[in-house]
Amino acid sequence: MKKVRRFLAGGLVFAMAVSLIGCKSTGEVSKNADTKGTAASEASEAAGGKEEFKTTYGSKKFDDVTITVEVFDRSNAPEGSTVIDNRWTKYINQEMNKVGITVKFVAVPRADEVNKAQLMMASGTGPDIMICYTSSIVEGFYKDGGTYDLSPYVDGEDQAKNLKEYIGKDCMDLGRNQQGELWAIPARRSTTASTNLFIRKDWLDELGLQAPTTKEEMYHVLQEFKKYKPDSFAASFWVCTKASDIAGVMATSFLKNVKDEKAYAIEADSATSLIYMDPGFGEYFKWMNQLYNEGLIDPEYYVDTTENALKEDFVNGKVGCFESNVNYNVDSLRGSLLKVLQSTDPKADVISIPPIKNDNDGEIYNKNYPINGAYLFIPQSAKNVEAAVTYLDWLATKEGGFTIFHGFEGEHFKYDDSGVPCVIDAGFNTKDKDWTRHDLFLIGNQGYYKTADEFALATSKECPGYENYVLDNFKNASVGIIRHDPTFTAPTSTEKNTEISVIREEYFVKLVTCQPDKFDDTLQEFKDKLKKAGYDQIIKERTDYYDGVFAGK
Amino acid sequence: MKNMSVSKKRTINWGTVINYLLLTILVVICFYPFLNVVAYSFSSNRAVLSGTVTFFPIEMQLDAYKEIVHRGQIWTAMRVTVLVTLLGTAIGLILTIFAAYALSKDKLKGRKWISGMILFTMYFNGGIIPTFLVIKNLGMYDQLTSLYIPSAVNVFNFIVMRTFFREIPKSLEEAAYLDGATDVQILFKIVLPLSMPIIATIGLFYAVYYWNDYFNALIYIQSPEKYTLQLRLRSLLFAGELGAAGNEGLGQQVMAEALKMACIVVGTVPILAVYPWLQKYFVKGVMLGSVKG
Amino acid sequence: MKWAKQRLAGYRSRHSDSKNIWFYIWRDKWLYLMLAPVITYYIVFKYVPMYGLIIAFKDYNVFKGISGSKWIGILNFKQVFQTDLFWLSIKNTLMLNLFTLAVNFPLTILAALMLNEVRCPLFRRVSQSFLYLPHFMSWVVVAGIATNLFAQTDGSVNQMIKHLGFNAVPFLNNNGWWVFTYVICNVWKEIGWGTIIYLAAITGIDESLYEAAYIDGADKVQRILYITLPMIRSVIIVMLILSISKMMSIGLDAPLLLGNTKVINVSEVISTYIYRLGIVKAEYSLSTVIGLFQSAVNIFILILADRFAKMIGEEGIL
Repeated sequence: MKKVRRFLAGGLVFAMAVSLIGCKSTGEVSKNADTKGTAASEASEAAGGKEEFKTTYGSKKFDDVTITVEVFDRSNAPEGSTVIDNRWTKYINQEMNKVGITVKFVAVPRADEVNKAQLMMASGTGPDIMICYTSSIVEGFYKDGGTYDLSPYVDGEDQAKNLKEYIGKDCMDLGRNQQGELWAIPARRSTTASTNLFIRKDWLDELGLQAPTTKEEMYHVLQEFKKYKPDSFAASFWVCTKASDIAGVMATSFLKNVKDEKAYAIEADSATSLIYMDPGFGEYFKWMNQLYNEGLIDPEYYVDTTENALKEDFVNGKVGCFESNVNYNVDSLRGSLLKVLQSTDPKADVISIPPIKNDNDGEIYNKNYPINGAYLFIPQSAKNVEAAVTYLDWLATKEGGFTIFHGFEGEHFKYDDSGVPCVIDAGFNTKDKDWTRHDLFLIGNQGYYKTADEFALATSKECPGYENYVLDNFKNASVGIIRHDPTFTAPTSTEKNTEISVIREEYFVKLVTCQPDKFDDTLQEFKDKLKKAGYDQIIKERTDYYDGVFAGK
Repeated sequence: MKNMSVSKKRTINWGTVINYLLLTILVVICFYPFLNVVAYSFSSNRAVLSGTVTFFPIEMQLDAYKEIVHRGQIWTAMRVTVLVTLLGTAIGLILTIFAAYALSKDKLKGRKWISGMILFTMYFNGGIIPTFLVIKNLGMYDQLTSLYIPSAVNVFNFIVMRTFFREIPKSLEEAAYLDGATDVQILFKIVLPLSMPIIATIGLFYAVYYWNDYFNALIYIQSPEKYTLQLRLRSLLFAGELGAAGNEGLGQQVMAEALKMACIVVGTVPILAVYPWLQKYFVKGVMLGSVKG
Repeated sequence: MKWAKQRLAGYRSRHSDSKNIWFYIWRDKWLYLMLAPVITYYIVFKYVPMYGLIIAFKDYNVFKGISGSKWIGILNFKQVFQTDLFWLSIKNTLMLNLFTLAVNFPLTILAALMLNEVRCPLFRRVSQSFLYLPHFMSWVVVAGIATNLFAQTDGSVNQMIKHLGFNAVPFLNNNGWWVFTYVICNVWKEIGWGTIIYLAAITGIDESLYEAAYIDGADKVQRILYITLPMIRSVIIVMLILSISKMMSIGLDAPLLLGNTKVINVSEVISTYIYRLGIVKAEYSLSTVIGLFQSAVNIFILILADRFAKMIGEEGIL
């Protein structure tokens, strides 16, 4: 006992003694709550018209300022250059030097970038402009006082003109909180198309069937598929698995509240909210339960937590109808799956079809991404926010983002008849520019495009031989009434995420795999558990938020 | 080899046969998945996607490896990792030997306190952020030293080595003391020669730890030329992955599947080669003529 | 008076406590010198950051820093302890660790013994080098292989089972079987690597002991039972104590990648719980609380295990 006591006591005394020293000597991020106050008072001064920040590129010459910008490192820099020192970083500096700004890039490995971002924020070593895809994390930084409110740099009439024009008011507002403060500048998506419903056209043709447009037709087609190919899976629809907590486009056709934009915004942030708020979603799962028990989908669908099973089934010709990301069948980034399938089975053909008509009112509703992509934010450790925002503004110009993304005319692209920039030599572009263009062009997801059609057209040129597929895919993902995914995350949802995620994972799989007669009880159990976990509070917060948003419209 | 002098007859009894048989089965079970990964890394994209590769590559091609080799950064990263591994193992071994030897001596005053203080750290640690701040304040952020110094002594390794040191017969040391040897001389002339197997083992443990380390490089290193191999490989895998919430989009053709497998092979094979080389140290120290009983 | 002083001086000189501490430091100066860098290392890199543990008692805001964050006492602890999921994850952690230890520990020793009995040097070298390959494979790959292998519908293992006339076994979708699969995968992954330490220990056994036993007529099994095992007893005990004292800790990769939503009631462990906590927002305070809890329980188990070892005559590690 004596030895044990010595051991414990030794450790504790040591720890306490040293920790007292440690408390004083470690230089943590100093209390920055003050800095936020300074920024606020600066802002009110600016509003008073005294010294407004000039953030439109060209409107101010800076006095030799250096800013740091985050750039993802995908380990794909060609010989002789690194992700922070290459032809394009030189070009950027060449242009920015004209207004007295030097841009230094800070590499962040693409893998685990959220971990790294959080550490950088905690230690004050982050670059001036940072990027993150999760809104709750970024807004959390702001609430904790770690980032700047950007509205004093952007909202003024003469401020950040190029940036505002490119991003657009609707998208920019997604980075605002209810007080109108801008906690991040959201990048704009070139296209919000998100999902496609795919089907084996050759199987349809051989069975003499038409592509299904209603739920009943779909069911009939699936049954025929199963009879025709008993070793394959007739269907693979999105069912809430560990990997994803959102509803697919097939589910959208069951929803009852989708016709009301506000009601949809409140309920559609996650599959959990949907099951809680929309009886139609329960109907979808009942339908999935039926499909499962009739052997129309993979009995072990829940085992795979990556998307490998679907890829494998696709390429081996073992799935008849499925939904996945837009352009999944021919996208080279997914592996040009259709090309691979056709190399072993030349008759095979996988096409996308428009979403199924909604069960309640016969309309086609198309689930789309929100209009924003990543969130750009500026930590309190940044010394010159004005210069940073000016850089973002420059990225929206033709010399800026357009050139970084598309390159120089004649060298990387030429204009076609409709004025769309088209690739000259894809191989050259890949080595010279494409490996980093998305990461340098921060303010737009997928690239610098004026419209979604432009994007679809340009993308189709990147899939030689399958151009029409690409155009059809994007068309099908945009047809009908579009419903964007809501971006607001209720605070309680963040707080209770741990318990709720376990409840939902447990019950969604139960809903699908249980015996049909137990379905209703299981669904009720599920909802009761959610209620007990406090889901009503989450719904209330969402309702309050969207009441405010829609009242302003 | 063990017990060679004992069994001079060459009888093949059932025990031996079963022993060899079971071990062979175990070896095959352990080896097959690795062989599988290697086969995948040499296979075509189509074969990898369809999941049909077993022992041999299907539609063999070297593209995945070419992709890795042509990334000059992989070689830089490999150099960094080798350097860190060598330095880290050397420092770790030296410090661990010192600590284990000193604390294996009963006569040392304060032995229990110091051991306790070391053991305590195996259970309680301050967390990522405070450790990060200490490292940053020491000026080690974005320096290679942050990779091999903060992990210098591993408590588990220390305990194991200390246990081995205590197994050495005290009579040997007492005889040396009588001859006027100091603690240092005993360490280098008696203890170390007799402990080659455990030193080789702990050295291997440290080497593998440093070779595989990914997390420390992720949080402490910023300059691309100082990235370690594991960090590079991991980022390379993500070159073909798409961002959260949909299409980030990249303009390059990447053979993601075979590439993943090739990355695993490149990241593992070099360190695998170390153990067979170390096996020659797995012989006991010479005890002939030493004190018996 | 004088004789009292003399007796006191005599008493003092016989008891080491009365000798000057510097006497000992000078006598063992080399040893203390060796320890100096080690102790410095631990202070700087382990003890100085330990003030971070205080985050558990604060409402930690990374930007206000540790000193600037608000003190909230045991509120964080209350929050964690009142969550059902927390207790479920503790139960699963203990269960999975116990089963894994119970299977892995004896099998590793057995494998080491088996390897030791191999005469042919080539076979021995080759098998040792191959046996530890799984240790180097990341769980991402292992889990991928395992999910394919053990699938109920067309996994290779079940295909063999069906061939033999039995029903397919739900290795991955049934709670009980999943634990079995988890343990098997862990054993497969670590058994080869685990033999290294035991082999190093066995190498140090004096040859003459075996010779003497052989002369006395002991057969191979008896030699193993009465010489090999007892001679490596202290290593076995130390390894056992160290393993047991990690009962409350578990890696993240294995349960996360092998688990799926169907078996969530057995696959949710402490590490996945912390992982979930961190997904939407970094929860440093709560994860520190959980870490403290784990450490406290582990140390408690360590002390018990060490006591037990001392009771059966071994040295233990404290």
